[in-house]
Amino acid sequence: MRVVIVEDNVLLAEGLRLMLELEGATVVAVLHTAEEFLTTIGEHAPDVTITDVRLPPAFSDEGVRAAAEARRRWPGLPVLVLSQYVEHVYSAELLSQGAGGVGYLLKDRVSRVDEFLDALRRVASGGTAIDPEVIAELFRRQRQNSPLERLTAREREVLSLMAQGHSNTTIAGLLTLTERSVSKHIGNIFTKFDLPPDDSAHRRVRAVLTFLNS
Amino acid sequence: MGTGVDEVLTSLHRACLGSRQLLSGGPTALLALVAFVLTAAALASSPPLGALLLPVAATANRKVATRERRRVGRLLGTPVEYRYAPLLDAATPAGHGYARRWLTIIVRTLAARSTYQDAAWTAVHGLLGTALIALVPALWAAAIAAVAAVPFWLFVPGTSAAWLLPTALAPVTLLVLRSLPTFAHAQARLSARMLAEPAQARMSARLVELAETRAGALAAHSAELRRIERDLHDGAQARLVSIALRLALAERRMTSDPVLAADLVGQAREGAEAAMGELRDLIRGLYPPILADRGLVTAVEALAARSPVPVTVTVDARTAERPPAAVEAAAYFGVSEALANVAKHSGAGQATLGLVLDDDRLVIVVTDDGTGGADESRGTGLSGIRHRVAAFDGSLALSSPAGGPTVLTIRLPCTAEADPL
Repeated sequence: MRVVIVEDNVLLAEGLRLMLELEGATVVAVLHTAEEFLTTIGEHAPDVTITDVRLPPAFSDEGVRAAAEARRRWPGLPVLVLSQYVEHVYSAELLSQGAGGVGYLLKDRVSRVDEFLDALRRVASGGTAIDPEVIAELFRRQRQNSPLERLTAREREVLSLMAQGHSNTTIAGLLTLTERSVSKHIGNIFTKFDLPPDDSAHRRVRAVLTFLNS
Repeated sequence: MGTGVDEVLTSLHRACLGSRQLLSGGPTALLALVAFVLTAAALASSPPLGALLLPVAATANRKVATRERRRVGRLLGTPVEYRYAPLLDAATPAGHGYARRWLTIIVRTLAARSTYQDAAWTAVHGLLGTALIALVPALWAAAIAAVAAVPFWLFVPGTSAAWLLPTALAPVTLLVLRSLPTFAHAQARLSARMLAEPAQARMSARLVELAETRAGALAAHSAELRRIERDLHDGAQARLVSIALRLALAERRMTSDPVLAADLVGQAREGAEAAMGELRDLIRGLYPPILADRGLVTAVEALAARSPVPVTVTVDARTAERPPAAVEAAAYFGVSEALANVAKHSGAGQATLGLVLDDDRLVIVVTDDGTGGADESRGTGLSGIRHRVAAFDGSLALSSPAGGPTVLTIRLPCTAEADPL
């Protein structure tokens, strides 16, 4: 797996490089600004880019903006955004461009190496990885008349794992269910969200978006 | 022809407007006249009795003057305010009998600059104001007479030409009628000027206010520093110590007891994760990152989107400038607290949040359709916000009658330059 890291903090950048290289990935380049990211990502052609949210010069949300811009220029370009804190506004922005290949995780998740690499691989192969904290926050606000209200407790669990980006097989493993019942739950979620039949990968992202924007 | 009709209509409109404005000063003019005459009579007939009754007269004058201030404030569009020194308050010795109390009140009445200011105004407004009011019906009568006199002179035989005097004077009458709004404004400005608080008093009141604000800001800042210190000391710092300890132990046991070492490293990692979570919460409480990244409007919209009760947000940003970071943070925490209260206590099904931002102030209004009866003294949240807002010379107003609606208004000045008045 060829990875580009966009991170201005040397400690964090080197930590990430160390971890990725020990785990068998190739770090093609470590970039320090959003501008570098946008101008050189074409030539590096990585399988996935990891970017921090805060980058020079203003240290606000350059990373999120650059990721969105890069994905406008190269649709489907896999980008994993890492942040010191999560804000569902950003995850909705990142996902709103449709196609998968997007991740948005707390920096803390790096310490769970297996889970982190799993998320990174999912993003590289066009899937999604949304931080559990974003999803927990969305479940915390219980709106009247939100489509979430119509879901059963089990369906919520399934949706939350699906939103994080897990496949049916992993969801089945994590909830100790059969894959058949997982697909049944997902079918119910699609129906309750009024999502018309469509190819299933697309529908998954749309279900997650409905959830993020609910 | 059209312009002629327009001209007449404009004149008529101005005459009516001016009459109404002048007559609105009628009640205060008559009250002032009565107050003036009674005071003068009391003082003239028997000075000792007059002096005894002085506080009564002064209090009556205050009431009339306050009413006039409200009226001319509305008419001129700029509020006229006055902070009266109280004649009787908790500091007045209570146990010393009526005579002492009355004496205190008389002394205070005599000492208050407002007593003389109000009295001078009652004289001027009582005479001039009453005269101006009398002018209004007189003018209209003259105008009616000017029109009515012509057929009267034409058709009633033996009418002398003197009857046509009102008609001859019609241009003058019309001119005066047209100028009534100008008179009304001049009269209002005179009242406003006579009743205005002296600049020095305004300054010293403002100085007291600013001193309180500054004390509040200091207290709030000190409390904040202590909280941060405590949180870091008990939280992240303690965690780091325990992580370092576990890593050191793991290092010593690496070869002799690899299983224990791996367990210790695992505990160290968990400790680090917990520390990250605590630091994140601490930062959120200091200066929320979304505020730093996207500014107040997006941050407030994100708060509203997170609220369990649906919130409609309207933003009226008249400037591209961002308020100072500390003001933004105070506003953000105010909104956060307000929305939390709406969700927890109001029983509301809907809420609205209005945000107005211009060059020198920030106003936030949160309204809900809940059951009302919110009481600031019951929780610590709102009073915390009040102190925070007051530290920036801002204000928080809560209106929550039983049955609702609850309206919370936060005002924050946001100029970087000092503005003493």
